[in-house]
Amino acid sequence: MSAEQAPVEVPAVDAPVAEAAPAEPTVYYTLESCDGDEVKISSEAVKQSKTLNDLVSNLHGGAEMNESIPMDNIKKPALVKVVEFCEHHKGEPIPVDDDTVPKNVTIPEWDEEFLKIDNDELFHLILAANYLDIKQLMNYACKKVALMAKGKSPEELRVIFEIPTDEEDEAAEKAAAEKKKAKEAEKAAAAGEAGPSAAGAEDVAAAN
Amino acid sequence: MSSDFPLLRLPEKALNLVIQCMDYIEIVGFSLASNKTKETVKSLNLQVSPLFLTTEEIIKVHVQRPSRMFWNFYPGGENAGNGPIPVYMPARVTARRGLTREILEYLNPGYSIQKWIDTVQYIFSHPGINCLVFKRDRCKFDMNSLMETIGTAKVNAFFFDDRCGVDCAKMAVRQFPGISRMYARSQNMVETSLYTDILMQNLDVLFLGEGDVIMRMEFDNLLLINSKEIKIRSRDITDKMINQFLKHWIRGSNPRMEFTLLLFPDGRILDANAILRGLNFREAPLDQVRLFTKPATQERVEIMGGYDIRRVNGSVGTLKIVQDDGRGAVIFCVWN
Repeated sequence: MSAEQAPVEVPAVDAPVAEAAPAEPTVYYTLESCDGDEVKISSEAVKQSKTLNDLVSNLHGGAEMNESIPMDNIKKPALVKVVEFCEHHKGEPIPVDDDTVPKNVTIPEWDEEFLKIDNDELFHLILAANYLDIKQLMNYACKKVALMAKGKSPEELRVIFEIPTDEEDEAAEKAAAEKKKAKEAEKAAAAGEAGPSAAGAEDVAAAN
Repeated sequence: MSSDFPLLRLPEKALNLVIQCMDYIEIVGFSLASNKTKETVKSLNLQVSPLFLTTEEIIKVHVQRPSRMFWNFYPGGENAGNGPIPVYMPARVTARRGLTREILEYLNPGYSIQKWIDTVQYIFSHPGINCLVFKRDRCKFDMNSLMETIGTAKVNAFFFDDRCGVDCAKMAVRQFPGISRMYARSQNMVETSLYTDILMQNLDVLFLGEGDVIMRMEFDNLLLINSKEIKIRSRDITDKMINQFLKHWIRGSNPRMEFTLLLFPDGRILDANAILRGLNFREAPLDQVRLFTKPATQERVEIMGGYDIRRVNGSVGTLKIVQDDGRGAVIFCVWN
């Protein structure tokens, strides 16, 4: 190797230093519950919700938004819980759908504590998670409900899950059908009363 | 904390996810709660197989896949006496998942055994009962009543197990004529000459003997067998009997036979010359591997080498003599 071809050693101090990438500033979005309260959520946490993530990336390209995002059918308590969940799980991968039954879901300790809530709250939390498409929360919350069925007889399940008996179902359907029938009859009667007078008005108009 | 949860008011996706998070035992219990819950479970297209119904002192149902489940139906006082008695209305039901010790008990569920079976079949779109198992010397339950309990379900196979007696087996075969498979592994059925009428049935599969249940088999009974797939565990079948059996097959006996496996316990040494004496055969090289698919079960078997024998109607059967670790076996398969 000739002298010209010899590699030139550059002293390490002169080597260009890669600058540390600036930390991406955390962007926050404001969610507005259906009862008018506002809750903030970080852009990282938003990724746990497919619905929210699609909304902010499609409409606003991920930039900060001035106006709040209305959550038409989520009340504040459920919205606060949902945001708490997403913030705690931010950065975690979204679970992949698996077709196994029973689903292979184990509720971690933090989530176990998080889900120690009243059944009414749990119900509304599932509604919110379903609406916002938060897979992990759906898995844990639905598993929690499924565990209520463990070791229970059909009768006990009826009580726990407020399942009406077939007779009660039939009676409710019958009552609904009768109500509908009565409404239609009322409507028909109202139309019948309006009918002749309207026809009379037409006759008068024709005579004139 | 409120004690109840309005499950059916959840959106469909969430409701389905809750059910999919349940064990199969709970899914069955849930589907029995009402017609609405039954239809909800059915819409998920979950499947189980195979489904066994066992008649012993009590009636039991068990499913093997995707997870093993066992249901025992216990009677009230009406199960007394030696039988045959009508199938009872269960006073309590126990359920067990897999091999766990944890047993769930349902008190007075209010459903007949028929309703349980119907529900399991309906929600899992399972067309029949894969196996009806008899374990007692005499069936405790009246066969007509048992038939009513099974309802419209098609029974595919019989297991005559444990101490099941010949009379019980005969009665079952008479009562359920559409059976396609039969597995006899009862100590009380080792004497095959006592049930030649069963041997003559047009079955897809006939297994006689298993483990320490070793059948007594006379040559004439061997010729009576009219099944497609046959497996016999016996000490009585001599080399000469196998030779005679093959000669009869060449001339047209056992016309439905497609696959036969004869198992010989206790280190029996098979004499290929005695088995093949007087037969016109072609020996296939040992390194020639042929795949045979059992028509009845679609199970595939590798046949290495063997002796090809031609029947008068032109069809070919391959005889394979297996001798290893002191255990002898003869395989005979008929190529289509």
